[in-house]
Amino acid sequence: MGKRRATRFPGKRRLRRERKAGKAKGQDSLNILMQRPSWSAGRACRRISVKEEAPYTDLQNKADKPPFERSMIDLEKKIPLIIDTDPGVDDAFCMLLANSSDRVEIRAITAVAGNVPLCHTKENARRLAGMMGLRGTRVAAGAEKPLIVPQETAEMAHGKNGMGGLELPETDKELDLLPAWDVIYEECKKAEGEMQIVAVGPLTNIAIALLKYPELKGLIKHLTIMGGAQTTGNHSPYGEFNVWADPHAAEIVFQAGVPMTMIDLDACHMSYLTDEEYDTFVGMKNRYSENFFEFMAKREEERKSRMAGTPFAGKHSPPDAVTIAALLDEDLFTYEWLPVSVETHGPCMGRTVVDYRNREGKTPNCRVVRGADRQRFVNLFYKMAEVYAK
Amino acid sequence: MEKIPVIIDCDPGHDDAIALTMALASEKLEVLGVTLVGGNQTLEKITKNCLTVLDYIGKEVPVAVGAEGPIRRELTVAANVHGESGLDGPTLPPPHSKPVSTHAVEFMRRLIEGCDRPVTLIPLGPLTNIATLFLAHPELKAKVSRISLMGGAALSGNRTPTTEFNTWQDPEATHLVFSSGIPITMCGIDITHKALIRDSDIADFRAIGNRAAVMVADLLDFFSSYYKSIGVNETPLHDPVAVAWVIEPSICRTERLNVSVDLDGEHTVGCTVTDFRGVTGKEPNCDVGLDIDREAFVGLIKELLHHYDGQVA
Repeated sequence: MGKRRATRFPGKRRLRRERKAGKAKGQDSLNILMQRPSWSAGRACRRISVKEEAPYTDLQNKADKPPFERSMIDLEKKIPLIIDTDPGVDDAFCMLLANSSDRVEIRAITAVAGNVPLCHTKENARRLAGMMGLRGTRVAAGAEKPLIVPQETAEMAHGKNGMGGLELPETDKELDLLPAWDVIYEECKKAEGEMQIVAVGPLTNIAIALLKYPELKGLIKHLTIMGGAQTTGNHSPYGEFNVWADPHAAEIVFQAGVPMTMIDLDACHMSYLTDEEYDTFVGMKNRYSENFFEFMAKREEERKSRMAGTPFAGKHSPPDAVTIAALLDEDLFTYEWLPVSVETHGPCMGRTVVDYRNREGKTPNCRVVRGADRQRFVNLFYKMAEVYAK
Repeated sequence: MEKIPVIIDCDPGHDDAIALTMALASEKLEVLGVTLVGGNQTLEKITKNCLTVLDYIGKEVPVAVGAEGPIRRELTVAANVHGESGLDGPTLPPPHSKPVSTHAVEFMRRLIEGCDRPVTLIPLGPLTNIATLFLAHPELKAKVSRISLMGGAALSGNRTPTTEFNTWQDPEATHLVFSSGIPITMCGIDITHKALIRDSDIADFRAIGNRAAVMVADLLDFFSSYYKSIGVNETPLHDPVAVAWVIEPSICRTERLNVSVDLDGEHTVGCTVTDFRGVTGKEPNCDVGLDIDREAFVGLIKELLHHYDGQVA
């Protein structure tokens, strides 16, 4: 070897030797020279790395085959269903709409803290199940609070007891002895891969179930959530309440690899009843008119003045009811498979980041609503009133 | 004197393997079960390592497989320290035992509920399984009398300048455990970097001559080669400190301080933020390990290794 000359990149000679020896195949010379040798770790020099801008890609070409398609649903068989919920006024609408359909068989209702604390949500879930005569359905209590962030509730929208002040009828229906996540796992195992889950509260229960039972993700046929927002949020500039209330749980669920559909606030803007249609619906007398629908219609009157001038003015779309409607009628919405991530801290905490142009290079993990056939939603409500009138 | 019922959660790992060997030799401990978590290496590799070690030293204890990786982050293994297999160094015969079919969290629930007195948990890896247990079964916290964990750093760091590997691996799980209200002894690198093993100690272990002692010596030969490669001549033996504290707490010096966990720092995520001067005003929640009697520690290891006398190497 010749006399060693001083050089600013002491590792350059070794790297050149390696390149010559063919070890660094496929790399251009600038890359090799800029590689830092391992022994210099700890030296205080700033490396400036230049990332290439991710090119716009046509997502449809790049996407893997979606794990869930319409053709996978057998229209002859009833769908076994778990509803994870935080009743909640619109959660009650969701349960009533689900029970009015012969498409689904509600195997379990699991309560989570959300709109109001768990002590109210589990009681409301129990009483609603009793009111609807769901004898074979397990009702279980789940998480008292979010995984990590401090608890926030939404009494201003749902009243202190979660039902806007309505006293649901007492029932002897009892809560399951097991916690929500154990019930979810047991029922999914029993359903042998056919179970679908509709989650219309913060995703705390689902996240804990997935953490405790890693094999659960292979047992859920599809998960439909009420959550997220493609444009503006409700409880924070971009955060929709369910995701914002427990962003870490939402992130765990979105990353878990379970085939899922996100019915977000923007979907609710597309799928609603007008004032006229809602009045027609309330006017269709049925067994729940007096003890539920008429009470809620009166609350809507007060809500009208609050909503005047906002995008929700003149629209009646209980988000959780919209969510179950998406499952009951596959043609209600059109979707796109997209990668969705959840921001867990900072001012955008709770934001569902939908990567339309695949800028982050992640694989699609969720069906996102892109369009709606509003009349189908209206028809489901009218049908619910007819079913309960019998 | 009643034995202390313990469950060991680990990711073998050279020092995990030595800690297991010690715990199973102690007459003061009753090891109810061992649970596994992805950490030093992938879950698959550390499961094999754990069963290999247990079979080799001839100890029958139920083993349950737990979380593959952290609650919400991707797993980063420590192949530079523990090798590709996670237990590079000695050549040990492949295991014949298998783990139980129950997942680690449900397994721990059953052990804790079924035990007639409160249990001590000894986590030696990322706290993912422990955090999941408390999320899924918060009512069990009352039946855990102490957590003696290997993890954290009050004043330094190894994986990053401010953070130790286990807490860096799963900051959310660390936060959930430290805010659980259960009495915690944090055997972080503040204390484990004083539990130093010299070459002469390794020779002494080897001289004991039984199968387990020679295995420990071989493991230490490989483990110490990593530290020597970064210029550290005596080898800190981390996980055994957490076990040693349960067996002989008097050889450790701890201070009762408040510890909280950084979840989103740019440079400090996973840091066990330790309030020495009480400036945060938060209540102390942790006995932070700060010093250890090195001679007594080595003596304890030798005493426990003699338990395996009679087994030929």
